[in-house]
Amino acid sequence: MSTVEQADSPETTMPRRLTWHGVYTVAQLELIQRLRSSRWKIVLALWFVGVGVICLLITTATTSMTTTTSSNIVPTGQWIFGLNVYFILFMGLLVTPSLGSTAINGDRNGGTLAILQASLLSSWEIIVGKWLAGWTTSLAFLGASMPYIIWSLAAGGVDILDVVVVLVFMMFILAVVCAVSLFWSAKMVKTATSTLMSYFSVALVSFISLLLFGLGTLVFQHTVTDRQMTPSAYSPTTGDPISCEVSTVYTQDFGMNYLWPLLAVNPFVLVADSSPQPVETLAEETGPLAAVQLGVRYARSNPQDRDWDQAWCNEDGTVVSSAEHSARMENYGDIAGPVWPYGIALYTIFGGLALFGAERRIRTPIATLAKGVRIA
Amino acid sequence: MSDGDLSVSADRLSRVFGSFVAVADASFTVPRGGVTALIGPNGSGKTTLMLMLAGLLTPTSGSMKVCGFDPVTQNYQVRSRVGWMPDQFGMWDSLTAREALTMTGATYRLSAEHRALRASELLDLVHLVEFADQPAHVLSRGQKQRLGLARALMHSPQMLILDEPANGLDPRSRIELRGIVRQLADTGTTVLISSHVLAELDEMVDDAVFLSAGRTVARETVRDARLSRSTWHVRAIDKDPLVNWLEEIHVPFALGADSSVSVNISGEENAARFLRDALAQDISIVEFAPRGGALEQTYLQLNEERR
Repeated sequence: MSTVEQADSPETTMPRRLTWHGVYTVAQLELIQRLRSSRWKIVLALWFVGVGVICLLITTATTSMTTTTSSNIVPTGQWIFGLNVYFILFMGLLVTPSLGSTAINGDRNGGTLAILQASLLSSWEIIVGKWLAGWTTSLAFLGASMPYIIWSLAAGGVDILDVVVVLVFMMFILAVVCAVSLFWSAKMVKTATSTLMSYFSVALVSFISLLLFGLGTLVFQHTVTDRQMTPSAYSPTTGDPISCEVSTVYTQDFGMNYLWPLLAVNPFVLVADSSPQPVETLAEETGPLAAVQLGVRYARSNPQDRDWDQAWCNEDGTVVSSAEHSARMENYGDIAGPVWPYGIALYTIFGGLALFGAERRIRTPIATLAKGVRIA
Repeated sequence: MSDGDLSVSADRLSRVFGSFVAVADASFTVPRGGVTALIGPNGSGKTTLMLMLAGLLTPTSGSMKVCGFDPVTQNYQVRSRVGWMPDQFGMWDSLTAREALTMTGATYRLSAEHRALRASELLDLVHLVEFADQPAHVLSRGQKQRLGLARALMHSPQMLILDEPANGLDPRSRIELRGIVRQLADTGTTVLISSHVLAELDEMVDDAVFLSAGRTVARETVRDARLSRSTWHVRAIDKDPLVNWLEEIHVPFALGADSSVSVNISGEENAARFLRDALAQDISIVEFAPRGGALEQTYLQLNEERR
């Protein structure tokens, strides 16, 4: 009987294949266990209430601020939207690492990982299944915050396309965080260590990147001496320059055009930069997301070259017309392109490497067993 | 024996972890059908050997065939034919016993109907029907162990690898386990089992492979082991006539605490003759049995050799 069976299976080796059935089985197993723990429901309820309270406070504070400080018609929606998105992203980054950081080593310690490894599931199915389960859970948290994001739409001034794009970016960022956490859980023997490393990874891109950028500008900072034409006399009537002369100009170069990739990996920058605003209207946008978006693109183009005075003078010392000046200013307004494609590319590489590395750690049969790891 | 009659044939297997040699030189075969024990002291490499057979660990050197396939190059085929129950396994605590089995069925790519059917069948086999819809965390240790066994059987494997399945079980659970293992072997499943409790293996296994410091050092069928037992335990109602008779016929003996004596007799034939003679002397013998289990003596001899 068994000889017939053997003849029926001509395949010599089953490669590390990936089937939907396998991925679904692993994800289902993970999610059932998560759903059955009562803590999970409490955490989600607390999240909903907690995020709600903060978002309500943000909304109230923003509304009162804008109405008391300026009579301009500033749409408060952008502020409410931006601050809520940042708070939700912050909370998401706080919760998500814990969702995947014990998925592999926790199972290994509990003695259930080897059961899956011995089954007909491939290592890729186990990894992708666990990753999807972690991501789905983090999306549940994002989903619970949706009402507060939609809320800001009601305040006006927020484009529905902005909301969709920002949400897609947040989902993507959480997926990468899940993948990185899963990697640490496969890499580290102790769950405490893998959780720590997962949080450290998030801190690295969220806060340490900003710190490095800030410190970097201070290190790179140097004064550039340049001789150029600058206005020397101004019209008493219009206030515009009427003559130019050569002078020595001292400008500060912070090297931001080299340091901007540090901002591109930042999830908060990534979300802000994702907004599909036309570049021309960017400067007129208000709200925290637009400010960050403008800021990072400004940093990417070399700010040192951005000398408004030059817009008045020609190389030969003649003063340009007011119209020409405006045209030049338009050109100066041309800031660098978006940084998010770089961020997305880097995140895709991080996430891909993380999943690949995690899969390598649980591949069977195991040739080299890492120190301290017990299969079963 | 031809290859077709063997479920396992291992040739000079070794496995090294860093500088630690877990399995040094293991060569043995496991015949198809029946129960084979893997016996050895703690740290002798039983678990490592079983991991290699189950296709989870590659050997450092040597070769093996499990159910006709090489676990290293034909891993999938081996895993689809082998059921493995590790010594320290976990249960998905929040899943019910039935769900644990159907989920396992899914991991072996069984169809949904087949899974449900097989789960019911196995819950019946391991006497867990009344706990079918209880979450695993309320099960006792013995019940979890039986559920673990059912999980390893979900895909109807040709061969079952059980690593210390009786560990931590109460006597009743052990007897039940023994019954299930015997039943499986009688229906054609090959069982490879490791255990410390040698007396229990005596009644369950057909064959034993002895492992010491990562080497296969002896192989013995339980029948042979029985035949070669040498120390017999004898107790009479009154010990004096027995002691006097033994002194008379110059048989060396050791006096036990409970007024019983231990006598060295080689082979079952001689033991039978000894008993006949004793009874002919009108000595009221109430206990006559080999001391220790069949496999125990071989095991102890091996340990002595090591010293």
